[in-house]
Amino acid sequence: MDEYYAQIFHTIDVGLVMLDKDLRVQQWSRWMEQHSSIPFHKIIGRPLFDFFPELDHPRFLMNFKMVVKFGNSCFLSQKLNKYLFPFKPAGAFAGEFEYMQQSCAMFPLRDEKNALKYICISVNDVTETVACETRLVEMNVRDGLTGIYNRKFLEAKLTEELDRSKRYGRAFSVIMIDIDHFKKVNDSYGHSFGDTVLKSTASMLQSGLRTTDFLTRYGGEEFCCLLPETECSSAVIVAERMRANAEALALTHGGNPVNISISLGVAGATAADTPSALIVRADEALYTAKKSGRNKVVASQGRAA
Amino acid sequence: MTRKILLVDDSPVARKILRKCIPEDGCFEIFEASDGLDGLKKFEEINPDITFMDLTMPVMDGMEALGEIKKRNKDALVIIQTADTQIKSVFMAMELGAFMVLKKPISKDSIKAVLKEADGALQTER
Amino acid sequence: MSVFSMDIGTAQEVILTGEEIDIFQEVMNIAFGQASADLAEILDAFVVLNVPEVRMLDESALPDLIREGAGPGALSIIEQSYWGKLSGKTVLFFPASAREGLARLFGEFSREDALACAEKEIFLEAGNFIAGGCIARLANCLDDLVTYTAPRSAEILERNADKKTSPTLRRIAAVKIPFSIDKHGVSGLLILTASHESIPWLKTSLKRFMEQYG
Repeated sequence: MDEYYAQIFHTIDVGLVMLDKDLRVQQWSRWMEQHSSIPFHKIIGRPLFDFFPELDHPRFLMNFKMVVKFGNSCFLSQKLNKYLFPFKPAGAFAGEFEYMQQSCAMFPLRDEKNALKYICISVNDVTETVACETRLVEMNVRDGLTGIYNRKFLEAKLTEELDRSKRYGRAFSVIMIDIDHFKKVNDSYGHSFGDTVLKSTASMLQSGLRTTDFLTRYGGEEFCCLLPETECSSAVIVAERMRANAEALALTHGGNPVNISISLGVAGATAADTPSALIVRADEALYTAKKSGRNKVVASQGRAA
Repeated sequence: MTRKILLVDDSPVARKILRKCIPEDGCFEIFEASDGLDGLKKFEEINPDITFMDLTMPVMDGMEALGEIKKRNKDALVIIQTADTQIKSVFMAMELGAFMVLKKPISKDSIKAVLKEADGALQTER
Repeated sequence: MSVFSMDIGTAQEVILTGEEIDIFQEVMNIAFGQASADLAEILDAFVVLNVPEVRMLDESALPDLIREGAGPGALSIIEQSYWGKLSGKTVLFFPASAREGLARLFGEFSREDALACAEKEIFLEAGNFIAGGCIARLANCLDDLVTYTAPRSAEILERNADKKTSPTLRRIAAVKIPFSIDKHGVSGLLILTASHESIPWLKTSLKRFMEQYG
């Protein structure tokens, strides 16, 4: 039977490594050879860390100890670890990742007396699954037209960021943005041009943001921007810059320039704010901006700290 | 000479096991208590030579009972019994004046050795 | 198929007696004591696992027990099955507030990693350590070896479900273990069950445990 097991060990589409308790490699499957480019004869009997120094970190060791001490299996998920062995990704989705995404497990192998003899690590290539999952998640949280986040994402993110700001006593601001006279633009130049305006505005707004900020399409021609770690006064500066950039957008329709402008309402979170209360205050500020002539930034005079 | 042994453990099974591990050679008279507070009361009543004390118990835990016993008699010989041998607990028990921390599960052999050691300590004391 | 599931008439015989429950309790006391010492070493923290009472209950009452364990507030629930001669499942509860501490305990995570789905993974990994450690030591004390399924995030049960399930006549042993990991402010609850099928083995094994003391 042993010879069959060996064939399975080397043929199965899963990387398999056997280590002794001193972390020396005792078995190295063909899959591992292929993906690591380290041949069997070079690594056998050698310390794993000689070849993969990056594995010598607390998380790996904690799991290893868990297996050795308790004889337990450990599961190293891709979501938490991304990968264990830094291998080049292969296949159709290779371009999207620097390293092959892996879902790994670590488990004990016992001798006939049930004493723990080896520690086995299995490595599954889940790059393709992760790529598909990422796309699916993206599709679910992105607005189809503009490519920025959608309202559903906003609602989840707003609650999360507001909670975080309260927990750590950090500043948090939101900006509500509306394109002025958008209906008129649509009526005069057609819906297709209206879409162009939306797309251009979204990418203009996005270009001025940090990676930690979130720009979302709130509805129709309305956008909402979440600014973590940002005081209301700083958010007003960001909003003012957005307003100026919108004015400067060089849009043309049939060779003729079309000017647009945006109105913005800013609100800084307070300890008393619920997610909806915060949005309402920003929306009220936006309404004031609209009322007082548009192409303006108004900050909520509410209970902003 | 008969030595008086007090077993403090909330588990009747643990007390039974310990009883079974103590040699039945007439050298030991055994008393039992089912929690720390009961243990403290029995300690005062019978003034045992050796006390076996569990750590996790209702009403008064083993660590507190150990402290109280030591307040009443600083020479009391108390052996802490526990499966949880985290440094922090062991250190605390020794700090409070435990004679030793005995790792569960126990066996006839380990109890025999412990009693011998305790006997030695009691002899030199006198 | 188990002999016992075929013959309802024997259901009475597979209940742990009062004395057996006492022994089981002490075995768990030892097992979880060892587990907390070993976990403390691996996690470099002070770990407390309390041993409460063992209950015999009908399998149909398990959802109620879990619901009771869940209590109010947001929770992460992690389930795992284990099987050796002793088999059953573990259900572990972490309050949402445990996330920060667990993230510190299981290494540094960037904020990006702490996004919703990775958070779940932190609970899964921590759950596997705690539940797996407890089961491993329990099996060890009873001279058994068990294997586990990977931890799974369980559906949050409907808190107020008033669906009455009819008794199955399958008796299981269940135990609730509150635990805490001190310096990280993590606490939670572990429910461990021994399946109906493994109760006969458990009875024999508990008897054997006592017999070693003569």
